[in-house]
Amino acid sequence: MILHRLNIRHRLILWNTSVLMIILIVIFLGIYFFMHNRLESMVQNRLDSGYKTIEDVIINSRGDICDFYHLGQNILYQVKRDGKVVYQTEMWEEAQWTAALEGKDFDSFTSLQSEEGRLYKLKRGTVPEYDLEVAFATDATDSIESNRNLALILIAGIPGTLILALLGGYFLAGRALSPIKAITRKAQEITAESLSERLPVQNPHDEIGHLATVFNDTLARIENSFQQLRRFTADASHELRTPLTSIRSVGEVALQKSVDQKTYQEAIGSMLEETERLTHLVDNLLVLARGDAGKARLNPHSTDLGALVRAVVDELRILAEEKNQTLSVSFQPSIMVTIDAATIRQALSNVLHNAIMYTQQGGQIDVLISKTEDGHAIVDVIDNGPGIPASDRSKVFERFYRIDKARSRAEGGVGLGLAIVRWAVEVNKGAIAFQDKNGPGTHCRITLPAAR
Amino acid sequence: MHILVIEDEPKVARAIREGLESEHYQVTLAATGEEGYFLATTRAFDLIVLDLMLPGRDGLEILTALRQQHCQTPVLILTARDAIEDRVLGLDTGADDYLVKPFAFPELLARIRALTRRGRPEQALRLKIANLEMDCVTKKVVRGGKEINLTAKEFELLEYLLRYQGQVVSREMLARDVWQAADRATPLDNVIDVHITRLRQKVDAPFKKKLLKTIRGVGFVLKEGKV
Repeated sequence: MILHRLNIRHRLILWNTSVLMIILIVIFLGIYFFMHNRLESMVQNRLDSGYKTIEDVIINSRGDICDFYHLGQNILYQVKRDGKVVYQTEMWEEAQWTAALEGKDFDSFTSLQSEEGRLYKLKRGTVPEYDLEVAFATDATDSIESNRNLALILIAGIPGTLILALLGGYFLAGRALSPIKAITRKAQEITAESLSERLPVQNPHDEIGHLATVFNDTLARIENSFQQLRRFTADASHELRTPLTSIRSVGEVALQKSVDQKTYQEAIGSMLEETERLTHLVDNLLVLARGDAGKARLNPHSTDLGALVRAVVDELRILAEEKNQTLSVSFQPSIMVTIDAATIRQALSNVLHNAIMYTQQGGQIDVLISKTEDGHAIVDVIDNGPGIPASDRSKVFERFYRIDKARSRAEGGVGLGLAIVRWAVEVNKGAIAFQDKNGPGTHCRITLPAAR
Repeated sequence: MHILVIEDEPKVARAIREGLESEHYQVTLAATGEEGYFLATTRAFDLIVLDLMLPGRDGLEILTALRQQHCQTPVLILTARDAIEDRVLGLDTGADDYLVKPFAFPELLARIRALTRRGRPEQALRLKIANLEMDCVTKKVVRGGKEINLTAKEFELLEYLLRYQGQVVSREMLARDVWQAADRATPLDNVIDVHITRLRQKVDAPFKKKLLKTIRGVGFVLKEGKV
């Protein structure tokens, strides 16, 4: 359809004008026929009453033509008997119609034109008592002309009104659509590099303004994701580069100073350790990438949370023992949760490992499992270590975020542990957060939905 | 023992060949799928190490073709794709085991040994190295006539090291076989290290001759004399 190739502005005014045209034609036809009928009946009334007057005069005077003079000469009529004119007014005579009327059919011939171009309506009849034929005419020029003028005005009015509507519509549609133009122009400029820019909002309360606001919100979210992605890529390359640099420099240094086998073995061992780190990092990135892509294979089962936590605690207990820390677990028996045990186990292991790592020698770590009234299961890991500053509490779950950069790297972390924990908990429909704690230390709370 | 290695990456292929040859395996290399398929169907091998991503015909195609030819040689798949689907697909196609790249070399050796002796019962009840003896029935460990008290985990760890004595055991192998962990993670690595330290304390510290050695960046080995 051609319509579809037009832009909104043109389509709008085209529709508008078409509808207006139909309405105008209907209204104008109505007005025309109404007025036409009115004028016609006015002429007809005049004709009827004029004729009636003449008829009355004939009957009252019993056919005596002398009385006709009383009617005056400024009326148009003619009286005939047996085809011969008995009487006619001067006006009629002047009009010289008699010849024109001769031999014409009575009924079909009802209008006449004078030489000056005026139009007359004619009514004829007979008065049988006196054997007279009467023809009466009245000037209908004004009515007919009014009618014609009205038609002309109406016909001329339609295009005029339509042109006005077209221009007005074009202007108004342009004004109404101008924010869209502005938005389009701006949107064309926005690329991945200029995501901070926003679309113009002229009136936030109308539809277009609302659209622009919604688009701006979307842009804000995209910008945020892009920033995270960029930071993530930068951090990831940095983290990958660090072990690569070590491998390279250790290898180069070892090659330069040709020394004994033991030194070589040391160098190679050191390089292999860095390779381990790299492998670890790539493994963790893969876990997160798979999580981001929603491709992680989960196998949710009804699981005894207490038993799972206990297994993790028992596995890591030896690390706490090494630091002379007290590690206690307390739980109500048989709190069942529907989770993928492998991912949650990994998450619990990471959280507990962090608690052990960051709590000083001889510290205390408590693991508490409880159940809320609405059926959620809660795992609290509470230590009396240095704690996490309130400003960092939500950031520690971000990828590669470290509170103390030097320290955790020395302990072998790559800064993805808590990011993986959060992913693991959330993918199991749970939540994790660091809570406020009275006194020094950290309080990590994992909430998991109860078994269905 | 003759092993066919089908691997297109020259560095990896050479490393595998040298590593296996130093363990006294006879190794034949194939750099493409076609070459590997030709060798596997014309000569007899005890084991095939097959890379999944090969130019031309990929590893899975070759494996399918070999199994259709009723070739029963055990196949160990190497893959950089560690998605579970890929592993399952590989095993379904007829592979006997798989190893995800990058792998630790001791791990490859362990898998190869497991595959080539598969089917043969070899669970010795008494294990021994130098003057260290383990009785797997009574759960007693004796060194130089003195009984050593081990925790259950330490016992399992020592048993594993004794079964693989002389060979390097990686943390990955320990995590999987002794701790039955599906995935490797930092906490478990630390746990393994502490257990090794404690085991060494009990088994080696009181004696002049050290048996449990750390190979930096690779793992641990239970061995007499120098590494």
